Amino acid sequence: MTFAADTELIENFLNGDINSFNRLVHRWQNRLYSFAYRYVMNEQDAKEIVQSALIKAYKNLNRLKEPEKFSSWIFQITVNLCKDHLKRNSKNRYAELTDDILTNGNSSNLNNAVISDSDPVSNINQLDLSSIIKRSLAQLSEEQRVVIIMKEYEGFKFSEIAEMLNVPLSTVKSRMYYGITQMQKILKKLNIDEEVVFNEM
Amino acid sequence: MKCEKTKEYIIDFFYDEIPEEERINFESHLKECKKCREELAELKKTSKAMKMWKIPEPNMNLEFTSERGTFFDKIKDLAGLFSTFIKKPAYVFTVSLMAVFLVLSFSNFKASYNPDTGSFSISTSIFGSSSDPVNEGVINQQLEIIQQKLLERLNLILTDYDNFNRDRTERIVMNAMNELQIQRERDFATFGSSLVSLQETTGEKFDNTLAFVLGLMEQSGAIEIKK
Repeated sequence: MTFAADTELIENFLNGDINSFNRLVHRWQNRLYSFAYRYVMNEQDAKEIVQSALIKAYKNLNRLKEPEKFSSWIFQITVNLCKDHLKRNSKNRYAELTDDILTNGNSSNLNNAVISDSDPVSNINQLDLSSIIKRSLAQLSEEQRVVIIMKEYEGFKFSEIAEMLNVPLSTVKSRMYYGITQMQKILKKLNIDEEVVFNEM
Repeated sequence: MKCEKTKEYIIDFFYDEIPEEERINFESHLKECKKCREELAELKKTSKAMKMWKIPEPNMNLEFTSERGTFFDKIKDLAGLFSTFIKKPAYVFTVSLMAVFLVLSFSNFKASYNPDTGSFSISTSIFGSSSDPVNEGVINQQLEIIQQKLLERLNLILTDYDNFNRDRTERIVMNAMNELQIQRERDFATFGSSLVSLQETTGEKFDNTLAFVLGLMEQSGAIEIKK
């Protein structure tokens, strides 16, 4: 199978070739899943969101005016579904996730809740660093978190993120700045420093 | 360059999105400013730590099989779509409503729907007692009314279920309805005219139109009729 650009596949699909749409699906589904998973922090929900996003794309692809912007478009659909999902499920697993580290919503207890010993390295090794990062990110505001995910894990440019989230560029950058500063504070409290990260690597 | 100014650029610099001339300014500022160097180092560290978040294998394997094909294909696709989403009894009821709707969408009909009892009463005829040509406008109006009521009804049925599923089902039904109506308008003419010619050649009147349509659908494999 030769490589075809997204735009080519879109054109073929709109001319009736379902196989082209499936190639788009195969190309994007895992990346969309990773994004949705990091956003809603639940495997099953992420899968359903990606499925809904792709069905939406299937139904509405003929309305996409600039096919070269397919990636922004499909991510935008996914972002909106994630947003709706979290809004609908205010008492969802994601909320529980944050609750269990924020005892009574007080972040100063974070240290005690996650780590009880004073030696950071040995403790972190027992814990899963991956889940610590996950839990820390869960404490950020949704607005900050989505920008961080799009930048850190998806590698979008700030201008692309601004377009997808439909907010000014300066807003995206300030959310990124304050979000990452917030992450620094959280990780510092947990004594996650370079040593730990290198140790894990 | 003042420290305050660098706040604007430190994020751009770190993610390599800083304009070239600003980069030069920023780099020379970094040489002088310990505070900014430290901040940049912190940024690096945090970014590196965040990369440690591993997520479960996606294992997604979605496959779209519905071709933009004939109306019958569409019905089959829809049935497939529903069978994956619909497991609960209330949804099955919804699907039955959909099935009735599908049949209706084929023919000239008079239909009334009572949302309180959930009952449809239908009288259909493609060439019924009236010899008038099919009045598309009226049909579309009726379709819209039924569609609206069906959706209202659907809302009631699904209230007991969790919001996510309800919303999803609504979306699917809504999309299906819209597509069907568009397709229906195209197919109706073809279907009607072929029936006219069939009637002319065979001289046979299709009085029991609903059964006839169902029979056709069954033959095409679109639906299965339990006897």
